[in-house]
Amino acid sequence: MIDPNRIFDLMERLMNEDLSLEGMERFQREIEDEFFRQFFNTFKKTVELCHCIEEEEVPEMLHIRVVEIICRTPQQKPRNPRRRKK
Amino acid sequence: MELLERNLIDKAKRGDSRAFEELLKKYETKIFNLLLRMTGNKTEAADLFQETFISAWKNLAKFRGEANFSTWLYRIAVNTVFMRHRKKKLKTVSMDAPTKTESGEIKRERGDWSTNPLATLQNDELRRKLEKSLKKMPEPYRPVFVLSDMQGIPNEEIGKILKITLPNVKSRLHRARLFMRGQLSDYFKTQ
Repeated sequence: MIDPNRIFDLMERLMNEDLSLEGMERFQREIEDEFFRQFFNTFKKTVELCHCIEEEEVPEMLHIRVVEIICRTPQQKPRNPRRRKK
Repeated sequence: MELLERNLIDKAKRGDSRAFEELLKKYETKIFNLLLRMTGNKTEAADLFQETFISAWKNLAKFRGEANFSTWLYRIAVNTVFMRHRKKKLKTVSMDAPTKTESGEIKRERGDWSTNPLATLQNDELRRKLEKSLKKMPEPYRPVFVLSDMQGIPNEEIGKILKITLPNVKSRLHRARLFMRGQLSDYFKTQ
């Protein structure tokens, strides 16, 4: 059975992002406490699902509008570094 | 920074809007999605997107290449959102405040939904739940979560973008994930 101190150490590492998902898997196999096993399983699944959220495309009209505005917007001139030294 | 990007930046700095458009094409999806997830509103995201790239174009001379161009751009985008929210005087959450959400702490709950066949993004309802949950996520955690878990940006880079320490990035990310997990657990309880 896994030592409770080890579980707390594991939780702390998880909190600090020092435990990779692979590392988590290894520990999961050792954990017999149902609550902790469920927590790790669902936590890992949440991260996996979030990684898979698809990105939305930029609306074409928005891209065109930005390009049009840029073409007629003057850029700010760089500051003269010599002036700053004075 | 790759040579092609360096050349595009140099050209754009000299006023070449076509070169800037190439940079826009390269980063627009990432920036748009960051803004979309931070605001949860397409119209507002589009407005902020426009502001971000116009500001980048105007201030390109200030980019000295010390950071990655993407980091510089992300920082402008995040600042644009924060500025807009400040103007609107929206209720903000203190960065140091402890999370007091229902899922901010680990509850002793029953049910391992990780193997539930519905736990997939093919499930439209779950996908919508994730999107809704992201809108409800406390504001300080949202940009860290989007940049890390949705855009795959390393934590060190996120720290530079948001100007926060690495431990702060890690702690916000963890809290954000706990929040999402809580939301998903609630969803599966009703299934």
